[in-house]
Amino acid sequence: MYVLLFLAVALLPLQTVAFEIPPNDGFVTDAAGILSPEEEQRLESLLSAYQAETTNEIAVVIVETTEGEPLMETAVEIGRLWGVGTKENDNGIILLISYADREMFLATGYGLEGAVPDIVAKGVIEREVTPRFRDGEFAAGIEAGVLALQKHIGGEYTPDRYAGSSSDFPLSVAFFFSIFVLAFLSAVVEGILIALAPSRSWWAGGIVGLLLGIFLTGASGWWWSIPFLVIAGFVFDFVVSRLYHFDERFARFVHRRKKHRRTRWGGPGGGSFGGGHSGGGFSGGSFGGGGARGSW
Amino acid sequence: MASFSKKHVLLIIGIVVLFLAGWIAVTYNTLVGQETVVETAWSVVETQYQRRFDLVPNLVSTVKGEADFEQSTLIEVTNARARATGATTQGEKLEAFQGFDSALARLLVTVEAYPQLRATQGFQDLMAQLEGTENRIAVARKDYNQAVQQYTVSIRQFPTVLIAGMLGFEPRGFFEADESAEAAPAVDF
Repeated sequence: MYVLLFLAVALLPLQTVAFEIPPNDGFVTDAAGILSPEEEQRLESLLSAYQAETTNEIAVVIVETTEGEPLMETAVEIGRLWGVGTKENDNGIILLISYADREMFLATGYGLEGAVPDIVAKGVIEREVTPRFRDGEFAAGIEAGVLALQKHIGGEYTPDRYAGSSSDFPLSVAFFFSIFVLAFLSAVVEGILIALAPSRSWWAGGIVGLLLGIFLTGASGWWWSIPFLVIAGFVFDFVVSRLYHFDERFARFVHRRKKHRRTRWGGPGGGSFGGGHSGGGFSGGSFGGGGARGSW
Repeated sequence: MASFSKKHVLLIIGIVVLFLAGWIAVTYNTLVGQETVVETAWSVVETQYQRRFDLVPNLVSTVKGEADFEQSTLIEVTNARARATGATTQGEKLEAFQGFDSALARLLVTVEAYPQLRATQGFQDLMAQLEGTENRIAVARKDYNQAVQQYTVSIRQFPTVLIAGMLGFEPRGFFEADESAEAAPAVDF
C-alpha cells in the first residue's frame, strides 16, 4: 500500500503535461472556449472570406495557457506546423492568445513582415485588441484587430498576383517518373531472377541481399536490414534455383524473359505520388519571429 | 554447393567495391544536403544579428542624450559589436554573437535606472525594434540548432562516422541557451 503511494507520488512530476498545440479547427481555434459558437462562426467566415479574396491567411488561436512556453516561439511553431499563409508568399498571420496568462502574440509570416512591421503589429494589439479584452469583449477585440490588419495589409497581396505560378510538382511528371522507377525496378528484379535461377547454387542470392543491405545502410541507415536481406536472398535464390531445375514451366518462363530482355527494355507500371499537405485548409506558409506581443 | 573459383572471388570483390563506392556517394550527398541546411540556417542567424548590430549607433545616440549615463556598459556593447563584425570563422562569430547578446543585456539592465530616458519616444521605438530583432534571432538560433543537431547525429552515426571526417564534414557548434538570452530583460514599454 505504502509502496504504491510512494510510487504514485514519485511518478507525479512525470505526469505534468507540457504545453501541446491544440488541433487545428479552421481559421479560429478556440481551445480555451471563450468565444460563443456564433462569435466563432462569425470570425471564421470573416477570415475565410478574406482568404478567398486575397489569399492572405489569418489564424486566431486561443489557448488556456502555454505552460510557460514563450508565446512568440509557440506562435511561430503553430504557424509553421499548420502552414499558415501560402507556400510561395508566406503571407500568414497568427494571433495567439493565452487566456489565463492574459498575453498574446501577433506573429507575421515572412511575406507580411513588410506590410505589417512589428511596430504596426504592436499598434494593432495595443489600440484595437487589448482595450476590448480588458472589458471582456474578446470577440470584438479579435474582430477589430483583424479588420485593422486587413486595412494595413491593403492590396499588397491579391489573387491575380499569383495567377500562372504553378504551386506543386506537376502530376503528369510524377506519373511518368513513377512509371520509369517501376520499370527500372522490375527490370532489376528480372535481371536478378535470370542471373540466379539457372545456377544450382544459392549463395549468390545471399550476396545480392548483403549488397542490397549495405546499400540501404548507406542510403537510409537501415543496417538492421542486412541480416534479413541476406537470409531473404538465400531463400529467394534457393527457391528459384529449385524451381528452375524441377519445374519446366518456370524454366521456360525464365528463358522467355531472358530472350525478351534483349529486344526490349521497360515494363508496365503505374501509380502516383501523394503530395504532402499541411493542416486544415492552410497552405504551407512559414514564419521567422516577426510580430509583436501584448498583454491586457 | 558451388566452389569459389578465382574468377568468382574477383567478381565478388569488384561488386563489393562498387557498392562501397555507391554507399560513399550516397552518404556524401546526404551530408552535403544536411550541411547546406546548416549553412542556410546560419546565414539567417548572421542576417538577423546584422540587423541588431545596425541598431547600435541608434542606441548609442539615444542613450548619450542622457547626460550622466554610465558609459562603461555602452563602450562594452560597442566593443562587443566590433568583435562580432570582425570575427571571421563561424566558431568565432558564434562566440562573439553571444558576447554581444550579454553586453546588450547588461546595458538594458543599466537603462532601468533611467526612467526619464525610458520615457522618450525615441527610446521606446528603439526598444520595439530591439525586441523585433530579439524575436527573429531567437527563431533563427533555434532553427540553426535544430539543423546542427540533425547534422551532428548524422556524422556521428555508425557507419557514417567512419567516413564523415575523411570527406571533410566537421562538427558544428551550437548556440547555448545562455542566461543572456533567457534573461534578455523584458523590454517593457
